[in-house]
Amino acid sequence: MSRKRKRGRKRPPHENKKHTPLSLDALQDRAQAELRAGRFRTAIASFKELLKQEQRPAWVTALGEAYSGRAKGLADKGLFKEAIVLWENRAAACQQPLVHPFYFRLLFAAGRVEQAVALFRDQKGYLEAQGWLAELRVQFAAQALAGYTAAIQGLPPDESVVTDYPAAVAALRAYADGDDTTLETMLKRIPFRSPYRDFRQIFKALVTFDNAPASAVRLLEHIPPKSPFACLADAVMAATQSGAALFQSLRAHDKETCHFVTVLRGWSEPKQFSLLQELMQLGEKSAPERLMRFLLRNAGALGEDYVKGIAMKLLIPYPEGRRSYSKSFAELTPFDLYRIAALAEEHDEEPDLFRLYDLWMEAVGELDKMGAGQGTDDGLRTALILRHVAEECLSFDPLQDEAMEALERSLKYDPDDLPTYLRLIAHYRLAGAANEARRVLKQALTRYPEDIEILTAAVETAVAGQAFKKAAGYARRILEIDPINSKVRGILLESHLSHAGKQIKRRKLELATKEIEQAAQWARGEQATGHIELMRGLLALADGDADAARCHFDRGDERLGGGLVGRFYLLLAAARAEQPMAKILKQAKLSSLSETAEHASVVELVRVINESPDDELETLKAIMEHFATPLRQAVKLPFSETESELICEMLRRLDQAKLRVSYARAALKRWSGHPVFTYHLVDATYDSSFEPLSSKDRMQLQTAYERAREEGDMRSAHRIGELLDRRNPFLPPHRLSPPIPEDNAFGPEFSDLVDVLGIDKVIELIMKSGDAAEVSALEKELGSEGLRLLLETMLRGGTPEDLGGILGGTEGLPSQEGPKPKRSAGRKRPQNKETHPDQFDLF
Amino acid sequence: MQDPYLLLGMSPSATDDEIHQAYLEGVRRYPPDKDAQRFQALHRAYETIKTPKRRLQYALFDTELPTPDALFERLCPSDNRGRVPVELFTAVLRAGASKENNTENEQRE
Repeated sequence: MSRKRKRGRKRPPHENKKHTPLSLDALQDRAQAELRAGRFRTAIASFKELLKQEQRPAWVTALGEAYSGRAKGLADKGLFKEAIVLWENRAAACQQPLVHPFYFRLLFAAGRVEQAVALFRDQKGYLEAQGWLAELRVQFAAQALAGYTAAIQGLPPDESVVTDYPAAVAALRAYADGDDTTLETMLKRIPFRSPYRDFRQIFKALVTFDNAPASAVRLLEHIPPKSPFACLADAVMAATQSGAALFQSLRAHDKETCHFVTVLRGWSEPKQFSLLQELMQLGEKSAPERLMRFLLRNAGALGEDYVKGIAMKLLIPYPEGRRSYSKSFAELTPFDLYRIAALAEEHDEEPDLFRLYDLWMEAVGELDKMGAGQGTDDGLRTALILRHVAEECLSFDPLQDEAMEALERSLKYDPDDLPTYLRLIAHYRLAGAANEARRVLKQALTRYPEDIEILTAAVETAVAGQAFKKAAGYARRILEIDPINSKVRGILLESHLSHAGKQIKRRKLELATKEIEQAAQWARGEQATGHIELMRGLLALADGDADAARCHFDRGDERLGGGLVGRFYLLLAAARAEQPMAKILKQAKLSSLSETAEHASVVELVRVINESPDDELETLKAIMEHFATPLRQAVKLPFSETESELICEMLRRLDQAKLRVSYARAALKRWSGHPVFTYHLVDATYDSSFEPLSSKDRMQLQTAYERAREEGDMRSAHRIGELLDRRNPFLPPHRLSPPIPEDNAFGPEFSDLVDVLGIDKVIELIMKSGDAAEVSALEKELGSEGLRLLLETMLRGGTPEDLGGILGGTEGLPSQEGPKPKRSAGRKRPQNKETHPDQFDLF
Repeated sequence: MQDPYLLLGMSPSATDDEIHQAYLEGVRRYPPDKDAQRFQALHRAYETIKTPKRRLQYALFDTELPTPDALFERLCPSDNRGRVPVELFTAVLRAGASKENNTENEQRE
């Protein structure tokens, strides 16, 4: 069939090419594909083409669907008149009914209310039969209240939309006028089944909104989202929110709704509404320059002081704003410049702590020039900055001394800062600087003679210096203030017993007796006296009185709960007195350890050991040798999942790899594939060997890693990932958090290996490692010499550029996936650091 | 953390007593049993600026910028409720009618 094409007529895309006519089947396939893909315009053309050839009912239905989809698409774009034409074409071409709630909505949206009324009146029977009547009545009600009174004028006078309209309008006016009595009366006149029901519910919410916003929200939740009144409900709902939620909600609404909300919230002045609009445009994370402009423009309303403070904060991310700031307020002082530069350095992804320290110190220098002294604001500022600097630098070894100096100096400007004294005392005590600790303590005691924390620090300092009399004096002062203070009793008891142990070792038994008696003065409760009994037992043994010793050991064992824990404490006391543990255990003649390996006893032992501090780790490891047999026997006991995990943790901490394998294996029999036990099993199996993981173990770990992540057990996932990375450097890293700074592309562990084994041996190990496929692929690409060169470069800490040079590109290298390497702790202080404020990069 | 001055409706030059009074007033309006979140925010704000030393500390080291909603609250602190005029109701209903088609389609899809 040929016909002249009209000029300007747009051709569907498939007509653009010259081709032979499609077969019916092909055309049908294409039409259906277009329909499925939502390309309704071309689908209409295709189905029309098909229907010209043959009138198949399925094609008629499909054409109807295409028309319907196109009409909805046009309505979405606000092209209601065009949508109406498409819908009417659908009815004509496909013999489908014109009347539908969607058609009514199109008519209302296009402003053809009279046409909708006429259609409703004429087709009421059909609409009722379809079950659409109630829905349409609500639409008419919403139209009437939206001001289109024509929506009710042509309807029969007995229609509920018409009969209930006066009450609804009166309620609306009464609300707007603040006449709550009339509002209530009018709302009562609206029946439950009225098309104005949703409207009534919204007004009930509005009445409760003032006093009980939560109740208002509950009422609004009953409005169906498809209701034509849902837009009003949304507006009231938005007004119940505050802060960021309100802003978020407003951003999702149109201008009319925003206006509605602001008026409802009491911001009815036009200026307030325009401010709201402007602030909403700033966005959640405002661009600094826009925020600066807004602040400066509204400085009067926001408060000069306030804006000045915020504007200065803005200079940290936005140093270009300095000129605007100076113009509006004043030139920044050198102090402000140093402070802003220091804060900017702190916010840097990789702050240079040397530079940071210098900047803050320059700021302090500026305050000094301004006459900062004790009791002045600038003096207090100086003290606060010095403490802040100390906080920033304490964790950085090369600046430890500077941090302490800063803390000490801060006390000159602000001597009333108890935490600073405590921090200094603890630091000096732990660093073994007893004189310094005592000096600061003396200052603190003068200022805070009755403070428990300072007095406790005094006890600890005295005990550390073995000045027990002094310690006892401070302890008595504490107990006068706080008679139930158990911490100070514990410190003194522990220290006397420890000292008694040392005297026993030196065979100074009289002195040991004195220490034990002094310890007894501070002992309260079964536990404390139990420890004293054990020490008395050791003393009696040293004195050659085995019978007395056994009595003391028995009493101590009983008071400390017996079982494995009793033995543990006995061995701990022996270790402190540096007595041979096996011999003491034998002489104590307590029941055999294997007899006491009961469930509760093992669990209690694990708790006690896990709570023991790390500074006794070596002693704990030595004691653990005596528990190997009972713990081996206890593997078969039915421990819970948590108990099994705690046992494995204890064994990991005490380097008991074989026992850990046994417990992890037993746990995996009960909880197959459990990530925690899989980790313990594999980790303990390989222990300290340099062997790469077998493919079976790697698979097992990989599965456990995935499972841990799925179950949200991030700790296990992290540990397993770390184990996989450590044992298989060629696999992509399993990182859940920012990686540890690495010295070379393989990580610190390999750096250590290079030091210990030499580079050749390490390369040999890597080439034999588990991921043979990766290694072979690289070897194929680079040749064995190239691979060797690559590995050597990586192990020697080569940069991505170095590695790229070897590979001819840097894609996929491990070092590129992590962040830039951080400086190592021992890095030397940079020589050419300029800290004059006017030369900062910032400004 | 939200700006403590904004939360308490204070200026940086406010005295200890003024800040304390503002905090007490805030607690009276938003007791923990009615609005626990707001109460906690008020408490944090008070703790941050309750003494001159803390205010100095905040002024020296805080770098957080106010969010637009916090600025709006400071500019328009009204907690009064207003009555919406009839014209705004009709405007919202009219705007809603033109969006209904979209909603309908989204639901169908």
